[in-house]
Amino acid sequence: MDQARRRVLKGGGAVGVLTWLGAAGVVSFPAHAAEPVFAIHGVAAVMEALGAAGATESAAVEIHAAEIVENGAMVPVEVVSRVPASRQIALLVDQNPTTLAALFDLPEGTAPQLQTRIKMAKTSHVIALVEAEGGFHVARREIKIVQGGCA
Amino acid sequence: MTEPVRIRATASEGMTQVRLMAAHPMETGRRRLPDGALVPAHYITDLTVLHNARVVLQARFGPSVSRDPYLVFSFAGGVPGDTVSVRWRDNRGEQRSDSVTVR
Repeated sequence: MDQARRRVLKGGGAVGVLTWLGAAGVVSFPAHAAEPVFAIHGVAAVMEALGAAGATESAAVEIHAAEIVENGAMVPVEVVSRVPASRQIALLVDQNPTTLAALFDLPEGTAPQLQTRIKMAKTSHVIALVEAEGGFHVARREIKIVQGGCA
Repeated sequence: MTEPVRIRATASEGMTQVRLMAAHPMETGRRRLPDGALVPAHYITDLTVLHNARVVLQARFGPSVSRDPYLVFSFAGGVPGDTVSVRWRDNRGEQRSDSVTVR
């Protein structure tokens, strides 16, 4: 079921799903949304759309970041997964207008560890969601923001 | 006009580490100028990293990725002299592709 939903989201069927979500008041559409899942608001709704509603908290996924960051426009974050066969990493920010920040597909041979920089509108939980062999593993970490970035 | 992606790819002990920074404003579409005018959304939506012709990372971004997107990651394989390239496309349809030789 979850796998089927993921395929639907990746294909053109996503429009139908989003039309339904839109009618249900779950989704708002920013201009030029590249991929529908980025237009979904809220951690639970994004995880549901990714097929990860039943994701389990896992100590095998780590988010490395400072506890307090001065400038929310540029928050360095590193995600490390020790879950075998990690194939996708999603990075979500709970309190941002755009919940999903980035989605990384890792082909075989690419290490499930990456560093990037994200915007955070205010102090919030950052969520790393790792897909591995059909299962989802999640880690959360609060990052305090002194000066919010325009996220 | 787009600017080149800055890329560094270093091979060591069977892995190649890639560091990249793609020059891009990553405007969310929510920022206002002092006169109150909204700055239109302008951000990279897709970024792909290739080792020679093989995809080693496929990233999809929303506007919450910081200005001048920065990534560090590693893939298995790669020797000095190989090519690592980065392609991106943004929400306006602009594209760019740059490559570097693995050191």
